[in-house]
Amino acid sequence: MPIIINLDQVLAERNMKSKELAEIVGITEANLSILKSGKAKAVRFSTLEAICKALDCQPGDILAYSED
Amino acid sequence: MKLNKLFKLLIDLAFYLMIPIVVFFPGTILYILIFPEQSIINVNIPFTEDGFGGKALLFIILFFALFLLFFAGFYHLRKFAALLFKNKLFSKEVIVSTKKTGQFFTACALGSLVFIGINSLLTIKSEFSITFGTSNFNLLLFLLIIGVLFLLLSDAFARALKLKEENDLTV
Repeated sequence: MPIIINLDQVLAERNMKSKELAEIVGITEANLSILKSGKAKAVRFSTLEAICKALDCQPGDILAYSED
Repeated sequence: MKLNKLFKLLIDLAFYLMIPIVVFFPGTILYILIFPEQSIINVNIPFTEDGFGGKALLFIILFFALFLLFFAGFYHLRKFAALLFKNKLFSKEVIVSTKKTGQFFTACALGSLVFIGINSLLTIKSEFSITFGTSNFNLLLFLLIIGVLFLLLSDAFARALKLKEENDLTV
């Protein structure tokens, strides 16, 4: 998929664990794992908003586009 | 009674009523072939005026082959009913079973239409008859419609499964 998720990188920069982020955002760890592994087909704006708020970042910091 | 339970019950009933035909039909035909003078079984097959010849045998084989197609369609319909009963509506098995049901019913209906067409050409009596009510032709046309409907259903289930997967993978 040409959309890359840089969530691991942003989490490392913020010294935050996945479990912690999942709790703040209000999604399950399994769903966060789906998002991190790039298996997700879509991301709700509400989830993206919650992630950006929790990590104090922009959507562009988490999502990137790259041609195959 | 729940509708899916009733659906499965009716299909099971029809399926088990068809099994004796599948099991005993070849044996019965073999019996008639071996003992042409027998009087136990009343044979009501076309082209048997001059005995049980090649034409009659071909008629019987084609008839049985078409019946087997219908039976195979029913077998897959039974599978679909079982999945429906287990509430596994959006699964690959449902897509496969509805597709196969559609393919078998369509093939059976098309084959039967060709079969009765050829049969009526061979047994033409220079007569023209109009049948009121439900004729064989109408029933076969209905079976063809059901077959195509199942093919459409299979396509719809495939789209629904894709949508469900997308929904499941939405974070």
